[in-house]
Amino acid sequence: MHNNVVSGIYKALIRENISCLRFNFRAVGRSTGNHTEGSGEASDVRACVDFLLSIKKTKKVLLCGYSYGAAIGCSQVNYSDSIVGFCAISFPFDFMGVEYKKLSQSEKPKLFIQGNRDNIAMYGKFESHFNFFYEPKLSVIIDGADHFYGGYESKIADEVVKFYYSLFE
Amino acid sequence: MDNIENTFVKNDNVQLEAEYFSSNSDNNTAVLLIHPHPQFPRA
Repeated sequence: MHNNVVSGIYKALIRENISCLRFNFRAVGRSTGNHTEGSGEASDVRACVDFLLSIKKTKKVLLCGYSYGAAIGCSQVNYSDSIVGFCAISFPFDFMGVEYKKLSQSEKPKLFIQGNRDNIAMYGKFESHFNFFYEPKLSVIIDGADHFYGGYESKIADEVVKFYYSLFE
Repeated sequence: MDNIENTFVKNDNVQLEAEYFSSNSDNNTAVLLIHPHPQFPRA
């Protein structure tokens, strides 16, 4: 629950008074269950969307995933009409296989954040992956950042908040 | 903070540890933050 990138966004959203939910996947932290190589984790994302819609009476949800969480999370963008789009930070297209990229295709708004020193979600292949996606879409390249974004957390959070306001204001 | 709730999200027989911040803005929107996996490459 305490990844530097996600925590940076979470704190920024709270400062902006924007409702948000963060969670641990199954078998992580105090979450129960077993790791399932993706299918169960995708259902975890859907369960969290349902929690927001049904329990918290949220009407619109923006997905925001980082690394593995981008691949799993953004692949659920078409699960509900109440999901308005996604932010994908270092989507590991080549590491995770093409399935998650295809499932993330959508005509909803999309923001991709990418470090230009990332060699896991490889920057050299980013543009071709980005070009695969339908409009509307935006990309933000973080100059000097590798996959772990040490020192760039506030920059990422600012971009996510800006994208949120572009959708909801 | 009063409007931060430590909770569990139920997914069939799995309980997901979660933390929810509730805005008082009443605009009925939320951001769902999705973590990397600890088994994925780390720094």
